[in-house]
Amino acid sequence: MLGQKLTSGDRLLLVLALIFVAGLYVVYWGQSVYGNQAAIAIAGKHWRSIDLYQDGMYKVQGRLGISQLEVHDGKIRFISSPCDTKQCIHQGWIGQSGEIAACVPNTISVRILGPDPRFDTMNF
Amino acid sequence: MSQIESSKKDHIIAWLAALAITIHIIESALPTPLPGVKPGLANVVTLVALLSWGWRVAVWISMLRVLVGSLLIGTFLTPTFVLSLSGACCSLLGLAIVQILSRKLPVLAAGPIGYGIVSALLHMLGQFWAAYWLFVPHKALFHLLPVLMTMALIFGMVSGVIAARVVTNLNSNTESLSKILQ
Repeated sequence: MLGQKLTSGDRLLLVLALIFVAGLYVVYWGQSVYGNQAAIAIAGKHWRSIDLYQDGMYKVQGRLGISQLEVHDGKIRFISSPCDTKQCIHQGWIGQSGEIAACVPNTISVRILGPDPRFDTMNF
Repeated sequence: MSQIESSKKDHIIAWLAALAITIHIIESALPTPLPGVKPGLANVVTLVALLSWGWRVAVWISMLRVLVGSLLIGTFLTPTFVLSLSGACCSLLGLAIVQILSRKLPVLAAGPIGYGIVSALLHMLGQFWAAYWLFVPHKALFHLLPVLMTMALIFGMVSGVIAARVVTNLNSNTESLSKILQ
């Protein structure tokens, strides 16, 4: 494929490009992405932060009723909820820092806090 | 009323721009695995222009491609257009810088593949910054950047290789080329 000669300038550019791209992986993929704690908020106000490495079930009282959350092995998910469409349950497990699961009708939201919460705000 | 006379250079630019636009439109019909990842084959024309006729011709072709391509596809003045334009401008700036540096340090002069890499990487970077600053200011976007740049690097090398071949063929066919570009 490289039937054409690579000039020495090309080689330099290629090396610089490889270093740059590899560096991008290190910077943006390298840091620990999995969170330790989940912050549960009811109607926008913070309610509790729970440890994701202690398995357990949590009952949270929202506007419509009680939603159940399950914590297992560093992840959390909605198990049951009094809403109509159960979107929260369908989202499944969340565990990466910044990830959010929410039952909007029941006004409950769960956000994963990470050791370095880089992705924790939406600016639109 | 006097006739506008077009120069040979105008013909070259028009011919190459039409080629680039055609490639661009055909490529826009291909499905992409990730948003924003394209082979970028229209860039080959820009590179050939840069190598054979200089940076200014390359600028003309790039800008015409972005403008006319967006008009024909129907994305003129949409966010897509803004991304396309930022990518192209960034890419052209990078090519200019590399060309200037190549002249100052002929030992480390860049060849087609080097230009291909630079133009592709900067095109992707320009698009990414525009996307981040203007449309999706969410830090999670950076999670995509390494993958986007990897694809840009690969496709940049490919288009550099293709451009090199085209230039070689053009050089060995200058007679037929002059006839076309009368």
